[in-house]
Amino acid sequence: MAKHFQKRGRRILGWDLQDWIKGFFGTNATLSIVILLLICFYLIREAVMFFPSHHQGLTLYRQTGQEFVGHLIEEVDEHAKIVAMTDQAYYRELDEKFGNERGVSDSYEALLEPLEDAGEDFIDALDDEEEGAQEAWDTFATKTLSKVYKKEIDTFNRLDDDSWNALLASMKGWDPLEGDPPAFVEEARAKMKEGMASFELARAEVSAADDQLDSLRGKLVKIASVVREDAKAELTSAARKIALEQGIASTTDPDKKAELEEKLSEVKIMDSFPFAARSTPMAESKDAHKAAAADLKAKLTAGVAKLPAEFASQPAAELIERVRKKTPDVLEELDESVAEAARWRWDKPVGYFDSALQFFFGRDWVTNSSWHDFYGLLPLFTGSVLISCIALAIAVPFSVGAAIYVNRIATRLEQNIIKPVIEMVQAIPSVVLGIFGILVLGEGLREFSQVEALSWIPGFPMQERLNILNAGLLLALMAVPTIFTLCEDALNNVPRSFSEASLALGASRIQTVIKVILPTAISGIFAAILLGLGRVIGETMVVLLVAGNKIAMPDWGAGVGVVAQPTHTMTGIIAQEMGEVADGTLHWRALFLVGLVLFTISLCINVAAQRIIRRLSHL
Amino acid sequence: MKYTVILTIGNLLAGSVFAQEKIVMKGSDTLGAKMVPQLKEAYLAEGSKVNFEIAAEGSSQAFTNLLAGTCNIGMSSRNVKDSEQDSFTAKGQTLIEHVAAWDMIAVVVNKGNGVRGLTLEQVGDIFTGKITDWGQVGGKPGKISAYTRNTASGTYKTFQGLAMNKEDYGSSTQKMAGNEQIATEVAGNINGIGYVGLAYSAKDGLRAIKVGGESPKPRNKADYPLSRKLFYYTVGEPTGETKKFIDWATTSSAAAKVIDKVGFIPLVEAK
Repeated sequence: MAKHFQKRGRRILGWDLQDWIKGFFGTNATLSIVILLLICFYLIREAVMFFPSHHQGLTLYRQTGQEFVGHLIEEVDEHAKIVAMTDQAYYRELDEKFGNERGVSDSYEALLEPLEDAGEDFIDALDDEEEGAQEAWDTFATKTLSKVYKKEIDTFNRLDDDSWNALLASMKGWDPLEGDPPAFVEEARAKMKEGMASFELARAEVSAADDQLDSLRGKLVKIASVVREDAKAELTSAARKIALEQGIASTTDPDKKAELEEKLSEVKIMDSFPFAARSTPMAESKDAHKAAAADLKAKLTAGVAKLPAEFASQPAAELIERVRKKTPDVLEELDESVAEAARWRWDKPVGYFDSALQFFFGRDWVTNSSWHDFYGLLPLFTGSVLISCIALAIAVPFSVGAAIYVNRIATRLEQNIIKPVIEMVQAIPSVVLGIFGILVLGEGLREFSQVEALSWIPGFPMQERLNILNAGLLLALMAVPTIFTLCEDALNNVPRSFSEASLALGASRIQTVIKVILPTAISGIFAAILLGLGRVIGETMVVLLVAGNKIAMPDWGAGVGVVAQPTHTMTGIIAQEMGEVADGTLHWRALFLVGLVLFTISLCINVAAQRIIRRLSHL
Repeated sequence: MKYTVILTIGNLLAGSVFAQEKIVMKGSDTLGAKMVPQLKEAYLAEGSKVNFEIAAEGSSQAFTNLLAGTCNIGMSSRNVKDSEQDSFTAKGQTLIEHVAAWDMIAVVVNKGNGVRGLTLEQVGDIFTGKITDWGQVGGKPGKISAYTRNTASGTYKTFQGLAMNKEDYGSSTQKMAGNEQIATEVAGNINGIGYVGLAYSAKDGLRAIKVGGESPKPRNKADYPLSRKLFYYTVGEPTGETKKFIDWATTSSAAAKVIDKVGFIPLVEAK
């Protein structure tokens, strides 16, 4: 064979065939290394550039006074949580005590829909006082009311048949022009109002406790937004000036040139934005903030104290109990937040380390915002890790078990069937798996979780079909072939003499597997699992389609049930947002940085796995 | 052999040069998923020989593609942003806006959920995450699942402006790739709420609720708080086939009929 290559043929450009072939393969190898290095370089450059831009963004956030207002926004949101629980309790109690009355009131509103919508022409005729309009309306109304189904109007089945019929009867003389509810409905509403009066009063007080703080927030948000816009316009005015200058240079139309030149003259470039002066309204609101917080504290405490102590509805009692427990915590956090806000100063420098920490441990990922973009990796990282953990927890027993069976126990025929089938799973395109996950697995899981007898399982019944568990199951399917194949290799690498010696000493086959083969191959198996993890954490299509794309920290209060919640992942966010960000923006770099984090994780996993395998080969 | 290859390549090149004129339209999913493809069918049925290429991935794509010169018409469900306008100015180009139709963003809930109407403020609070339970707005108690479009979508931004006072979406909202996906999720989840173009709100299992007392119906387009215009954008005044198509699509009654059929509101009366 070597002789064939040595045969000197025609020379092209001074190289013969052999040189060309050598050159071809050599160039290929070099080129791929160069390209890989270029990719790494590009990725790292773009990602690292995130930190200075992010720092700049955070500095701007502080300088414009938005940081100060941010505290107020958070405080109002915390208060809203208390209000949310109170409101829920109120309506539960209302349902329990006055379900029938509420049914009357709601069903009345629902009945208006077909009357007002389909009867529009009749109402117009009545309004114009056309002849016979009243009769036409009456016929229409009677016909419509005779055709409505109780099930559709009274969705929650709050009404008994008597009240339903009474309601229908009371609608007979209903005047569409006045639109006043019939006396029957008014009575029901009055009864509800009277029965719930004290609760309603306390609820209103709880809910209105933040009025002062909220109006201060609204005022300052407006001011800070304008400051932000102005500051941004100034920061980008240099770029706009260049754009206009280029435009003037490239156009030949004199009218347009004049128009652009006029615009150019409007662009002002100041040397420094007067942050100190512009953020004064925020700085001067510190006292007002303290006062508003104290007001909230007093009113909320008073309001919560006024909430009823006795409830007809158990869930309402529990909710109010939680309100009572949570209120002191909220107030304590409020004090902390106010103290922190008081420390805000527009010119305090933002630490580089802090801004980096905000990326890695930030809990918010808010982009494309008209207020401020937050880039916090933590929810995405948590999502990726949770999904991977579930995938591995499911895939490892299956694939390791299958590998042991195929390698040590199965007959030749079984080997020939099982191995190709498992490896074939790898051939399914991930987008197909994703669609399967949405349409079949997701829907199936949700239906399955609705079964009454299974409601003790944490997270059941599932509300969302796109969730962590669904994504984890699909990724487990994708990880099985990887782990299985590598595991089998590891088992194959165990020297024959080991098992022969064990069998010769009288151990059974199972004993040999458990006591000799597995301990010997354990590092190889571990490496296989690590590589499976690498496969899972980098998977994109399935998680993008199936994980539910909710960028928030999971609600850990649900315990194991957390797996029924939707989440977002590091790979998913890149795929979802990369298409629409402009080159070189902060958002673009943030996505590159997420990519770099992923790359680092994969690299570490692979290096670890390689090391383990190398150690194994020295055996 | 060599010559055959060269000939074939030559033929391919020539073929592309002498092909029929082509209108490339890119941008908004709201326009590009149903309305524009159906307009195209109707337009071709009237005997035009033009070729169409339609890609719908979100309004932002309209401007990036117009700028790159890779499409003739950009479809957008929002006005052009200043920063986008700047890039055109820099190249010495003018962006021309054509109103394509009116759209109403319908807020949809699951039919099994008793809620029939919400105030605009309540809708905003649900999507910013201040209201988290249906019990708070009079529905059957249950944790609200709010589905939104993703950030590439014009509807995402428009809704933020119309309903949410420009505040940010709450972190518990789930971002979906398109109208259809939102409709499907809400139809399958009794605690779901989402917003879709009017055309998608007729799906089984959905109820388009009243917002601020107005139901999303064409005759309410001026009063309903969540209605907006849809646009075609071109670089400079359109010419040739592009002009013919835009004129037809915005003024003819045949086009109005199609627009009406897919659930948007045409500028001229459909006959």
